[in-house]
Amino acid sequence: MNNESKKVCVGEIHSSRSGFASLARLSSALQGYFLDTVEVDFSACTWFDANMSAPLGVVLAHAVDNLNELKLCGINPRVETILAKNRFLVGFGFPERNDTHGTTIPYRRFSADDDRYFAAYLNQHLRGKGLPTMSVALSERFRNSVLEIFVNAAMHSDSKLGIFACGQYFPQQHRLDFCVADAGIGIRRKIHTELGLKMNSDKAIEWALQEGNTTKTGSVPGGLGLKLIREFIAMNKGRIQIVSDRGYWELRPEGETLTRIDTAFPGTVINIEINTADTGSYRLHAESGH
Amino acid sequence: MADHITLKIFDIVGGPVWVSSDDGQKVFDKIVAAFRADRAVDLSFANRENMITAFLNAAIGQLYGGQYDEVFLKEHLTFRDISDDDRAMLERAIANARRYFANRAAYDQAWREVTDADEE
Repeated sequence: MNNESKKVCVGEIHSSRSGFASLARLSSALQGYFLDTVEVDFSACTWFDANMSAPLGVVLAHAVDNLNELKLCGINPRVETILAKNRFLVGFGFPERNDTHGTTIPYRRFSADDDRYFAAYLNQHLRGKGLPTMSVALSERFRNSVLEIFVNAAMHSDSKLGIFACGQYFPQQHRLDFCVADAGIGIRRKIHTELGLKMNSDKAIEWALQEGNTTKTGSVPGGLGLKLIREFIAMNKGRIQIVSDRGYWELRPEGETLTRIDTAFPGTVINIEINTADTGSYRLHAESGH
Repeated sequence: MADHITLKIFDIVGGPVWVSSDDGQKVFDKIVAAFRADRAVDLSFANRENMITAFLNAAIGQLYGGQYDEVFLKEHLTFRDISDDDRAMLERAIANARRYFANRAAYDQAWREVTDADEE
């Protein structure tokens, strides 16, 4: 047992490639510790997008799973407010704060078989409070998209530490971000394990995005959920990001990015961001892309 | 002409949240049991709160795996109490299932030919 205090640092975290890369580096820095007391120093963090609490939860859960004690310190008041309102910090001994503006969808950790509990959480927190009055069709497609992501993670990730979720509404920008992160084996390893296909992390994300591709074997078809989410986000002129292992993919109105980050993220994260002011029609078409 | 039976998803799943593959499997099993008893199924979507394709793939999509042909399914399976949007989602799931069962080997082979890996 090593009683000497160790330290890792967290910088600014936005919902961006560099934000995810920072969390992956944090995970890497924590990997060497076992049975240690580790200070997680936030003093260089002047902003933290609340929805990114979900992948941060994955990173810290891995460290705790390695029997480490984590002490979060140096959190500046603005960041503390963000992470206390969405209840992320409660698990680390910080007091809870009221979400007076009602703009957060609180941080929660679920088990893979919690699908009904997760649906209830979404149904509860996407109604009322300060969240935007979205059209019924927009709200429903958003909810369905997040549910598809959760069920996908539950079915495919083999995450023993659970599935982490968190959302945040940014009223001035009319955007709602929601993040689902798992602590599982990642898309690349799943494809290799299930199908024997060996590919890099970025290619693995591209593979998973193709309609009809699925690691499911047997009699139940798959591979439609992500395709519908992608259609929805494109219609809404929103944004979707997927990070898995070292793979990074982003779709936004300006275009699509598929690349790799330097350090592996220990799981898979999907962040979706929608434009809540959009009043367009979200009717699903029986067949599209033909 | 087979006698009809109405199956309510709400009753089979035990609630209005229809998202998991496991719950979809319960619906599939009931449909198959009705077919085996020589019944045509009217599947009711009444009282749903949440429904996604992961559920539909298991409940309906796997009926298209070859055990039943298209003519049989057309004559023995109808959908009721379903909104236009849900019907569109259902049709997407059925179209996806047809493609999945028809092209599975081809999909995998195509990727086998283009993949590369330099990550450990």
